[in-house]
Amino acid sequence: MALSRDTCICLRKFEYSETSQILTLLGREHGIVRVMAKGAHRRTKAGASKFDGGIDLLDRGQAVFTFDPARDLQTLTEWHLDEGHLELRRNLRAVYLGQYAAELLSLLLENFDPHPALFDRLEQMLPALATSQREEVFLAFELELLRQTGHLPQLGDCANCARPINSSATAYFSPSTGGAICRDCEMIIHDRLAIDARLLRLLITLLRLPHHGSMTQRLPRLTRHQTDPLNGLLAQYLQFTLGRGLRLMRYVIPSPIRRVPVAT
Amino acid sequence: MSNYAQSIQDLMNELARLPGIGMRSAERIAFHLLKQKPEEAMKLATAIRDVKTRIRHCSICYNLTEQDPCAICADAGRDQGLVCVVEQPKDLLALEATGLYRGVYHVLLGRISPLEGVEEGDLTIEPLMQRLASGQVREVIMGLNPNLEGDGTALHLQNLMSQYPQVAVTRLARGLPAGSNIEYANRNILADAISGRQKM
Repeated sequence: MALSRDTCICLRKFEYSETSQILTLLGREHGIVRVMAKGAHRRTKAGASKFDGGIDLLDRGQAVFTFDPARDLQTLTEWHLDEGHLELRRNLRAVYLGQYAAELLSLLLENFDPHPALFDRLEQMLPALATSQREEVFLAFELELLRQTGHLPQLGDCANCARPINSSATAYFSPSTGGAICRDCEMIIHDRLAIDARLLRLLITLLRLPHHGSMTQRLPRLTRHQTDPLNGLLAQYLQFTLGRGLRLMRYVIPSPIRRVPVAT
Repeated sequence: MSNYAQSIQDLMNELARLPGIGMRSAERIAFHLLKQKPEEAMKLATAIRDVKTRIRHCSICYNLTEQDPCAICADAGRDQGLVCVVEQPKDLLALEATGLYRGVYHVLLGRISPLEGVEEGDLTIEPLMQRLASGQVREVIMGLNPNLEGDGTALHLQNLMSQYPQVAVTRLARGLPAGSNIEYANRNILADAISGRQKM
């Protein structure tokens, strides 16, 4: 079987046996690829290993694997580690944001559907999580992921009536309607979430930033006071869209936004 | 559909549920047991029964033991103020095999792995905090696996332990394994080895 070569980032890993791993890799040119790394942890006495001693979550490396889209599980034949993100591992918030990114990617991307631009953004984001810019960098990545996978919620106009949303102190967002909703519609939508309108406008600003060049230099500095409600909003929207819970949500967003009860 | 007698098929099915054993290996083991004398084969059944009835977790460190507390926790010669936190009992055994460590242990029975659905409450973190609250512990050594989830668990524990400022938190050294070659070490190992270099 023909072998393929790609730069990959590990999104999920399962220790299949003492020495072997089953991995979900995001390849720049191949998209999501699930591989079996037989003997991944095996080393000679001198320390030689064809998989650099095993592959960890978020590791980036050069992978060689069999590639047959008809098969669910490919075979990894070589792995050379390029980046193990040691700095990221020294900060708990960065560890959780990195894993949350991996969870979102593995849920939103289809197998063998490459997104090179998204891969490049992930590659830029992971080392930036170890810096003080982690919050804005993660939020910008999350928005880009939603945009590139066609899951971006409607933010500028009302997702229910399509009219522009007038600026006011409080904005409303409905996961089931698919985005922000105006004051006229919010009364009739049962799952509306109230959020500071300035935060919603911040999301729109982030989406309008140019996409080329370094991501981190252009981003406004954000605090968790700003990003937690936005991450929570997007997480609740994604949970509704995907029809399943997000495992990292409680680690990344300590207190999700509550629904506003509809007046009866 | 197999033509084996039901009891043989049942044995093969049970053996095939063990990790790393497929149906072919299960068949070979089943026939090996059938060839053995009854008293020899029953030793396996007895051993399985004994391990499931006698082995439990130590109420202090959560190591596997036949007596509670385990031999390590009950050893008065051990330094009870020095606790090494490990993920699994087999990690404890590996550290014990060195013969160099004279403190005690705490086995977490896993690591926080949100992607796999393993959360804080699934581990023995609460009993560890209770040990620290007793005031007898002066140092905790993080002996968790040096991967993303192990490091995340260690950072989470470090946050929790910050309420006990009298407890020093350290971690096992990282870097090049003894007997290995630098040319085969990956980037992570070399980076750890450089940042954790020691004065000669």
